[in-house]
Amino acid sequence: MMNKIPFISLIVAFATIAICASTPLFLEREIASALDSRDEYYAKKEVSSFLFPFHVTDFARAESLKVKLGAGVADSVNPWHDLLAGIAVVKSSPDSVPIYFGRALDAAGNDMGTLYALSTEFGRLQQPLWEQKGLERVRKLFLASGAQSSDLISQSLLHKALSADKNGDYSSASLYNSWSIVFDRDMVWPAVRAVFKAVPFHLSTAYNECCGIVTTFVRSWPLQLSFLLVLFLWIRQCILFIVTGLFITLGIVYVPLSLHWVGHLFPSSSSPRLKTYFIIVSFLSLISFGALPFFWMLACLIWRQCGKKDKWITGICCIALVLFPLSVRFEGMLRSSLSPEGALSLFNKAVDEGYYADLDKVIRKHAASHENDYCAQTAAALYAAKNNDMGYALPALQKARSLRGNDPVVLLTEGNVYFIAGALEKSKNAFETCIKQFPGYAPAYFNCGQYYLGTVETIKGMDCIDRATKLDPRAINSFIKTNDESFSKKWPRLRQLMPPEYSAGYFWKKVFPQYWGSWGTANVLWGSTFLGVPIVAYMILSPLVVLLLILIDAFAWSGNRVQKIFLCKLCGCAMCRHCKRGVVCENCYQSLQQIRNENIRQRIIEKILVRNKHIKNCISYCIDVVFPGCGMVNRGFSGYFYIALTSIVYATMFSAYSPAFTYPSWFEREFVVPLYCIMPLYNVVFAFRAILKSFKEFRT
Amino acid sequence: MALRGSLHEFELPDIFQLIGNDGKTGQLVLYNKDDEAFVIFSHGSVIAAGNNVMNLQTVLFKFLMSIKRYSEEELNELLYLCQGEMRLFTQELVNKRYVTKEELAIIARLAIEDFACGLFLWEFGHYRFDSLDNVDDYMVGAIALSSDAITMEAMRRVDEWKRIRKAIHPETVFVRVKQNENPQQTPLEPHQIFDPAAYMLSLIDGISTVASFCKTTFFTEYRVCETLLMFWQNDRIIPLKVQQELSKPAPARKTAKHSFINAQVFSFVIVHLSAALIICCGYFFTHIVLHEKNRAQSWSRNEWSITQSENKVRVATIDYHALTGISPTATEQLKGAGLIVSKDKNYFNLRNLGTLK
Repeated sequence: MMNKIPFISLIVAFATIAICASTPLFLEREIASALDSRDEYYAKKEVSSFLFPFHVTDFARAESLKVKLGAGVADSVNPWHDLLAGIAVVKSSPDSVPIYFGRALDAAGNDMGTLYALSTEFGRLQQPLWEQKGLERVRKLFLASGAQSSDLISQSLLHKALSADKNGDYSSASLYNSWSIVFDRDMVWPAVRAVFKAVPFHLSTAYNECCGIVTTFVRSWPLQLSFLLVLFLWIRQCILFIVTGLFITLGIVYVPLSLHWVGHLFPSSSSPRLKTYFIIVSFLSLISFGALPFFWMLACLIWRQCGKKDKWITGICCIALVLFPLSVRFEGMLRSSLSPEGALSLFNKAVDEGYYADLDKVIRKHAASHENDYCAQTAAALYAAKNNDMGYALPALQKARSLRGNDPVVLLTEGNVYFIAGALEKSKNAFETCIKQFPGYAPAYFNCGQYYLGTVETIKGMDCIDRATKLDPRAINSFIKTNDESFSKKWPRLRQLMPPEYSAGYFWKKVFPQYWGSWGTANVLWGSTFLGVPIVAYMILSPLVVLLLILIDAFAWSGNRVQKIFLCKLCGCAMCRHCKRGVVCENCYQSLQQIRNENIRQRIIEKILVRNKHIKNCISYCIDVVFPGCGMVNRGFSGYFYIALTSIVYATMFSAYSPAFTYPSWFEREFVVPLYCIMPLYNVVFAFRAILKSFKEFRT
Repeated sequence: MALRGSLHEFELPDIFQLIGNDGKTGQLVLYNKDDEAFVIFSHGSVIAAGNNVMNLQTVLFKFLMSIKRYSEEELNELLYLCQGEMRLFTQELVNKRYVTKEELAIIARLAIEDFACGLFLWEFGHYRFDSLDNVDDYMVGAIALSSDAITMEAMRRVDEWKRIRKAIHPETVFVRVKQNENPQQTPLEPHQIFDPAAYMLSLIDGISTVASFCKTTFFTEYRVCETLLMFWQNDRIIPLKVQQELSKPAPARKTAKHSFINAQVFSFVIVHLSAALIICCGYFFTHIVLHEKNRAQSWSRNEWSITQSENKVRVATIDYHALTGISPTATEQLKGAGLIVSKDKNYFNLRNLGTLK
């Protein structure tokens, strides 16, 4: 229950933000509505029990279905009727099946939701051919609506691909994978999976897939942005774990020394080891104030006691802590750009998705509240144009133009919107301006070419398209090929022009700096990291603290060369002059004081030394289980390599948990679950080592 | 280089530690009113020690006169011939077979250790350390004791001395307990020099006081008293004089075990309660006092993940509906069907309280 308290408080905290829950996905409402109408029809015909689950070879069920439907009664306006009629006669009259299924698809008309639901139902009822036909029709409508991606459809198809792959149906898996790529131009997961499957036996396949991934990655800035965030978080985790490891190593040695005075608060009858335990427990409880304050306290505490080499290590750790706000700022940059409610994400959605009212509302709201944001205005104009709402699109476009007239996407959007609106001359002017300002921007040439072809200036048009093809052959050819495949020569209005898109290079140079947030957004992300101190204040304070430590060390601590607190020569417990004069602690003294025979004394001293060594070694082995490497350094070996390795392993485990990509976890799981299985082995190996070595220590 | 100061401010163990750690060579002089003592260090190790009453020379004289029965005049003459230099004097003693090398080594070691440790009883006074280039003239029989070892032993003796002083008075007379031991046994047996305890035991005759042992033997007062106490505790000897005033000291280890345990248990409980209290304070501070900042931070950090998870749940809901004919009502159903995983569910619940719309 206690574990759930933070989680519950988080839920309560987020409940207040629930009003701004994310907008529905493109086609979500349409597909849900189609599925509802399917259920309604099945219920009306009382056939639900026959169909969930259903197997096409079940002849008895098909017969029952036929009886329930009332054979021969056609319902040309309801696609579900024809679907069921076709299913009912799959065995008895296979020749009439295409008629029923074709009628079902026709009945769905131009309703993408119903078509997709129908296609899914074909798939569920083991009619793959008709499922493909359904998807083909969805694709046509999808492209005609100006959409390029649909998370919903691509993820569903990806799930089907995975299920088929698990069932050994590799041809279906491959088919679904290729369909998922059709519905999402940034889709790389099938390729990633193919690479994993191809290595190490089919290296040429792996190479080809890798090339595909790289091509998509180089083109797509949203993919680069999300990948960079994941990579950055991983690197930061690694560094933080390294710092943690080093602090553990230093803390084990120096915290008992630094906080030795606390031991005097406990009864003198307590043994030094028990006092050390008390000190460590008390100190560790301070971590509840946050990891960063805890590390600073640790650094300030141990600095005085550290040797020269350890001071360097502490100093390096402190520098890492001083630089931590910069990492938060960088994270803030990436998160601001990726924010689902931010202008860049909305612009990306406006380009990628077809029109639906929910998104339009969000985009307009954002544009209204960010009047000086050219990207928001461009997104609003583009999206309104997809709905032919020129009354809204044109003023929004003017705003965007006035805010940033030298942006390729703004200029191309202007041309596209005027083209859709029928203002061809204005459209041409915008395209030409864009070409003039950005001669390397292929879509501007292509769209200008389309204008010329539309105005029957074929030579000029072909020239422009040729130049566009030379600039970006892959994108232009792919666009033309997709249009030709789907629409032959009758390209719909929204597919005649290439959508406005940023190239990755332009995005990072010109657009990203506009949307990378500020120190204010970084401060929000910083939050309570350091006791609620603002990020800027921390950036000023932390270097001062390090400087102060160095100065005090140079002028005060280093001057006094006699250690006030030191370790017992025999058992290694921390002690001071107040505990006992001399170089052995009270316990060791008690063990030796009665012994007058020098040989026996030597034997006891040896025994204490050996026992101390064993205990120290066992503690080190245990620390190595929790954080491999720290114990090795504690025992005097060079374990820094292991600290780095452990940091990489732990950072990978932590990063693997965060759902960084759009795509479903069950797909990521293919890679993550093996990671989770393998990574703990690292600790298991060290646990075995600890058990074996501890056993050996005490046996000897 | 001279290092000087007051023992009140800078204690002798610290000085020994400093000199030992730095491997200094030189002479440390302690003085307090009329008392004066010295320790010679060679590369951080103690090679000679003494005070204005006793030093290695007086110990050797005592040994040679009381055990070897040489006359004081003869020894003084030899010392005069060596121009008072200890190194030459000891070499001559060995060369002329006054003592063997082994005897000299044992006596020198005992004397240096006893004198050096004796200095740690000084609570007041001043010290001065002067670096010297060469201290070879002070070295006898290549004896060099680690300053750490001396400090350790001295600290033991400081504590022990308080106990010994309570138990043994200078006027106490001891007798041996075992009847079969001959009280008239001569202390002149050469092998007994190698076992000072046995030698001390051989001196106990039921007449001599502790003070007389200190005066006549070549041992220091501490070593005499410590040896006698050990024999007394082992019931090898018992005191005769002022017996009624003396009580046999209890072994230091025997203490009230129960109070030990109680104190430790009490400390254990208090420490853990304090730790729990600090954790609660930390939790209160970071989650209640900084609640607003925390909320904004969590949102800022999780916004992307939550939206992604919401989208995944939306897709999974459609898939579930399409495949089963039932609209899911809770994310648990989606997880059960393998369409989402726990992390998606958790992120989704953060904003949607687990309800599927």
